[in-house]
Amino acid sequence: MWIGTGTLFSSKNFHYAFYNSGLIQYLFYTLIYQRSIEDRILNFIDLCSVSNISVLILADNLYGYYIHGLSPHGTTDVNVKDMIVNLGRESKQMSGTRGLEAKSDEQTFIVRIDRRLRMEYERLLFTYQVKMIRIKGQSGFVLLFSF
Amino acid sequence: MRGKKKSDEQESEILMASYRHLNEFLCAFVNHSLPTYHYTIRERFLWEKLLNYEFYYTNNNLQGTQSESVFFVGKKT
Repeated sequence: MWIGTGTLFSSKNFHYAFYNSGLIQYLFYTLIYQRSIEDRILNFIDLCSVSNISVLILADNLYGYYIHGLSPHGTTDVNVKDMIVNLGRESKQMSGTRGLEAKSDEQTFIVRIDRRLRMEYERLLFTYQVKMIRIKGQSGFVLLFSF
Repeated sequence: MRGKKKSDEQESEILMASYRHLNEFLCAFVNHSLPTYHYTIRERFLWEKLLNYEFYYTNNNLQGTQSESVFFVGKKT
C-alpha cells in the first residue's frame, strides 16, 4: 500500500493533476463545446452584425479590442421578412462580406490606438458627460455611473 | 407648460448632438473618412502570437511625431 494520501497530495503529483485538469478543460472547451454546443463570442459577433452595431472596447489607455459589426445590407431596421431575405442573400453570397476590409471575414481586432485619437475621444466624451450632468442633474450622474 | 416642453426638447437635442458627435467621430475613424487619423490593419506575426504582445513599428513615411493606429486581426490562435 504505497500509494497513500501522502503521495497523492505530494506537491509533484498535485501539480500534475492541476495542469492536466486545466489541459482537459481547455481541450474540451475548444474541441467539443465551442464546435458542437455554442461559441458565445461568435454568437455575440453575429448579434453585432445583425444589429449593425460595432463595439470598440478600450481596455487600456491606448489598447483595446474592436468588433466590426457593420451589416453588409446597409440597414438593419427592417421587419422579420426582410431580415430573413437578407440572411438568405448573405448565405448565398449575393451580398458583401461582414469583415472590416473588403472581401474579408475578419471582424474581431486587437486595437492599438494613437495618442491623438485617444485625446480627441476623451474630449468628445468629456463634453457629452458634462452636458449630461448639466442638463439631467442628479439623474445624469446616475445614468453615467450606472454602467 | 409649452415653454417647459420646448426647453426640454432643446436640452435633449443638445445632449444627443454631443453624443452624435462622439459616435460619428468613431464611425468616421473606422471608415477611413478622417484625414488626420489613419489606421492600418495587419496580421500578428508568429512571434507576436507566441509572446501575446504587439510590437510597435515606426512608419518612416509619417513625418514628425505623427503616429497611426494599428488594428491587429484577432484570429484565434
